[in-house]
Parts: sequence; C-alpha cells; structure tokens
Amino acid sequence: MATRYTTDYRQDLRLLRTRPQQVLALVLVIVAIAVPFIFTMDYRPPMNFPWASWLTNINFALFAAIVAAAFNLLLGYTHQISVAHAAFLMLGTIVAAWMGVIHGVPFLLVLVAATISGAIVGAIVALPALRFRGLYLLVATLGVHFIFLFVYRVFLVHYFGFAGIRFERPTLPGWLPFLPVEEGEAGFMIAGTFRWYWFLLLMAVLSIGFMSNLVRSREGRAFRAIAEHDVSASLIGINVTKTKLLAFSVSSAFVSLSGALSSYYLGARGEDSFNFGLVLNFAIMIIVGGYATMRGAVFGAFFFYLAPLLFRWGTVNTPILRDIDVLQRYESETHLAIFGILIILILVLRPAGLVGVWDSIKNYFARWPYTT
Amino acid sequence: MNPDSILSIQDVSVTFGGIRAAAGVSAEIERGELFALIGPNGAGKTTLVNAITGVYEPDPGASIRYRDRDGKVRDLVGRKPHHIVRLGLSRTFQNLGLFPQLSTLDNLLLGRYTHQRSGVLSGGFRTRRAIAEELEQREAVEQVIELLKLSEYRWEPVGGLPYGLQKRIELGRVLAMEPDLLLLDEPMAGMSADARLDIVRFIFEIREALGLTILMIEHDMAVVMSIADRVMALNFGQPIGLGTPEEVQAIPAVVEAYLGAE
Repeated sequence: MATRYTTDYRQDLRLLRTRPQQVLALVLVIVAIAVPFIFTMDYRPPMNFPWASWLTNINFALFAAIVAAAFNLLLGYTHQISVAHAAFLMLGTIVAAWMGVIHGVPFLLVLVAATISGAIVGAIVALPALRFRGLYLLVATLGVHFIFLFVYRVFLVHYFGFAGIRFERPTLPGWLPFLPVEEGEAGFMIAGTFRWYWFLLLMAVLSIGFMSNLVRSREGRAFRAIAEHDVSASLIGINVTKTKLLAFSVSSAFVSLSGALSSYYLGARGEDSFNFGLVLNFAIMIIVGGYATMRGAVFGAFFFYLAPLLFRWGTVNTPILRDIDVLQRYESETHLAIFGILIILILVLRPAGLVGVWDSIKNYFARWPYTT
Repeated sequence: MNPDSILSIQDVSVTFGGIRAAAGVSAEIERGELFALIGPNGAGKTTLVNAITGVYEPDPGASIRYRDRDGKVRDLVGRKPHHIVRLGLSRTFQNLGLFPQLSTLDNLLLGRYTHQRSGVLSGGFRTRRAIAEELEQREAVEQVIELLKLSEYRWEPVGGLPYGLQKRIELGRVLAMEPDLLLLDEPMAGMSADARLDIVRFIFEIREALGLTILMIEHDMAVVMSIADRVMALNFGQPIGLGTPEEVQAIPAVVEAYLGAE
C-alpha cells in the first residue's frame, strides 16, 4: 500500500517510500535501459550535435558517480576532509595491474580484490589521519597522495617500464546467468561503450545502493553524529575512532574499485593518470550536486561529464557564438570559464546544489495547486 | 562502596593548569534517588560530571566506582566515554549535545546506538536482521516521542527548533538509551517558566515510570528543593554541604555562596 505518504515504520526504511518515488524510479529504469540504444543509433542530429560522445561520457559519469558517492560519504556525511582519493584510484589500478595483467586473475576476482585492498589500506591510512582535523587532515592526506605517487611510479616502471600499463579487455565467465555469450566463446567480453555501459551501470547501482543503505543504517547515523558533535557522539556510546576508521575504509574501498574499473575501461594507464587535481573534480561534483546526499553525488557526476558536452557544442556551432573569435581561439579555456560560471551560478542560486534544484521542482508539483 | 549505592565518588579532583576545578569531592549516590548538584557558576559541577563520564581524567588518587545492573562494581577512572556509556550511564549537556542537522527521529535513534548490533556490512546490504533491528529501535523511539510529545517534530532537523524543545529532545535521547543512571546537566537552563514546569513534570514522570537514578545539576533552587532527595553544594570546586534539601539550605556556607556574605 504505497501512497504519497508513509503509513508504517517499515515503509520509512525503504529507499523508495512512496508511490511517486516508485513511479520516478520506474521512469529512471526505462531511461537507463533506453540510453545505450539511443546513443548507439546511427543518427546524425542537426547542427553537428555530438551524438556518439554521449555514451562515452555517460560511462565516465558512472565511474565518477561511484567515487563521488564514496567521497561524499567521507566528506559530506562524516566531515573528514581527505584528498587521498586519487591515491586510492592508484591503488585500484595497481591491484588490477598486478593481479589482472601480470598474474591473469579473472576480472571479477580482481574487482573484489581491489575493493578489499581499498578497505584495508583505507583503514591503515586513516590510523595516523585520525589525529587530525580540518585543514591538518587535508594536509596529512595530501602526504598520503605523495607517498602513493611514489609507490605507483616505482610499480609502473618496475613491472611495465615507461610505456605504461596495458589492460586486456575483461571477460565475464560464461556460466553467469543472463549473459548473451556467443557460440564458440568461453565468456562474455566487455568491449565497446555499449557493453561497458551495462556493466558500469550495474556496478554503480550496487555501490551507490550499498552506500545509500549504509547512511540510513546504524553506522551511517554514527557517521553523521561524529560530523556534527564528536564529544556528544562518544557520550551516546559511539567509538569515535573506530567509526572514523570505518568511514575511511568504506570510502576507500569504493574508490579503489572504481580505480580498477576505470583502468580496464581506459585500457591503458600511464604515469600522469592521477594528478592531484583529480580530487578537486570530485569535490566539485559533490558540492554542485548536493553535499551529503547520495543523489547529489550522482547528479554532480553527470553534470560534470555531460554539461561540457553541451557547451562545447554550443560555442562551436551556434550562429553568433561561433563567429566570436576569442571564444574559438581559446577554446578549452572558454569551456572551463563557462563551467566555472555555471558552478558559481548553481551555488549562488541553490546552495544545496542540483539536489536543491530538484527538490524545489519536486515540491512545486507535490504541493500543487497550493504552490505560488 | 556502600551496597545500596550506584555511584561512589572518592576524592575526585580535576586540575587544569594551575586551576583546581574540582578539589577532593566525595559522594555516594544511592540507587533510585534524585541527587542534585548545586553551586554558583564555576563551582565545578559540570567538571565533576565530565570526570564521571570520562570526558576529563581526574587527578591521580581519585576513585569513581559504578555498580552496574548486574551488581558488578566497575572502576570508571581511565575509561573512554563510549565505554562508560555502555555500562548504563547517560548524560545531557548544559549547552545541548544534539546533532543539529539531523532530524528529531535520527537524534533519538542515535540514542539506541548501543542497543543495536548491525555494522557496516549488514547495514549496507540491508540484511533481514538489520531491518528487524531498525524496526525494533523505531518502536522504542516512538514510545519516547509519545512520552515527551515530540511527534510533530519527528522529521524536522533539530537545529531549527526552539531551544526548549531541543532540551526536551535531548532528554528524549538519553531516555532512549535506557540508562540506569541519568546525569542531567542543567536540563532547564535558559528556558521559560512554562517550559521549566514541563521539564520538571517529565523528570518526575520518568522517575516514576522507569525507576531511574538521577544526578542533576540545577540552578533553580525552588526546583531543587522540591524534587531532589539529596543535595550536594559545591563552591570553588569544594563540597560545602551534603544532605537533604532542608539541611543543605540551612548550612551557612551555602547561603553565603549563593547570596554573598553579610
């Protein structure tokens, strides 16, 4: 009996509590299923609208959504500022390269291993970090980033030389259900944006689903309690140290998973794949998307990868803009500047980010006709 | 330690730099009583509560012992706050220890933290047991919501609610913890006369219904005199009187501390 409002406690615990939420979820599922088919159609839209790049960028947004959600878990929910997340992307890559490329361990096992190593290393890294707060924590985790840069480079040169790591196309075992394995093949090779989309979608749904459940559970509440008042949290029985460690660990696990996934997706990883600025991208995603919400991380990741497609197209193809010389000559700076303006506009108009935009639209309809 | 007492404090001193915020305080708190701690500002009342709950470490030589519900005597000195809480002591804060951005419901559910077992994995995968546990806690919290009349504010972030209401929610959170010993640090500070009356009534009801032992810091002498079983007065960290409200009220040093010397 799902209605607009909840009627029992069990219903309050669900992710999709009310009928409108369930309808919306259904629409999302339909869109998610339609998207890869639409963007792989051989279609040339008018005015050179970039059709083929959409699916690639959507795939990037799916990786990023996992990392942004994990980052939000730590920064947004637990208020632990860490810039070590590029380090955990490196960790995922190292695990994938060492197990998958060198030792030929099956793809799915590599992903599990990357997740577990992320959790373990995350907890170890958090041990010294627990002593710090705020900017001090930020600088301490920056130290972690530098250490990982060193480890990654030594690993890379030792095993792969200066050419960088080349990842094979991953294969899913043939015995898994629902896989359209072609005859004569042992498994299902994940190749091309179309097939990757499905796999990444599954991974993103599982990871973000896990984290959304977590933040609504006992430990998730403890994360938020520590963020707001740690003395008070300890006086209701929360072991603050252990809980911070858990938050670091879970967050790092998913970042490491995403690192392994993205390495396979990109097929190659070199020395300069993980610069420090990467972490700032995720910060942009969670702030623009919506701080301390799981939806916000997803919104932010999609905004980050899809909005540039739009204005890149806009500045090159629209009649007036394409004649402005400055815009064309400094193309990439123009795109950055537009992106910057957009970020500032969103934050000024809706401090809660894209989630805030979404909620005001939702409330407009939810309260209709009593809306002004 | 006296067999009837739930908490025994012996020679508790707390020193910050050169300042002795509490100097050799001793007291036995009996199971089931309402023990009030009074004294002017800076007398060391909150410091004492902080020493009991493990926020501050008392100076060497102090002994704070607590008898848990199974009759086992535990030494509290040197334990971390979250360990002490798990033994059955809960406290409220003088200037609110709520989590302002969380809803009333989440704040109260956090009071059930030690009654829950589910961890990161069972929470993330939403196992059957984790859901069952969560529902149990919700039922428990709803009882507190009903008792303290908080149902309208269930989903509101507590930070935006009026001060008196927040005090009441904090009281609700310690109740949700189901402690044996409740430490209330000025539960009525900064509240209007009506709201104070409400809190007094709630404290009374709680005591009747749950048979808790309560250690309460309070400034309002009228309140203390009417509801406390025993009172200890502190001044400059030192105990200056201990006994029934009438006895303590008659001690010249107490009168002097409150009203100034003649």
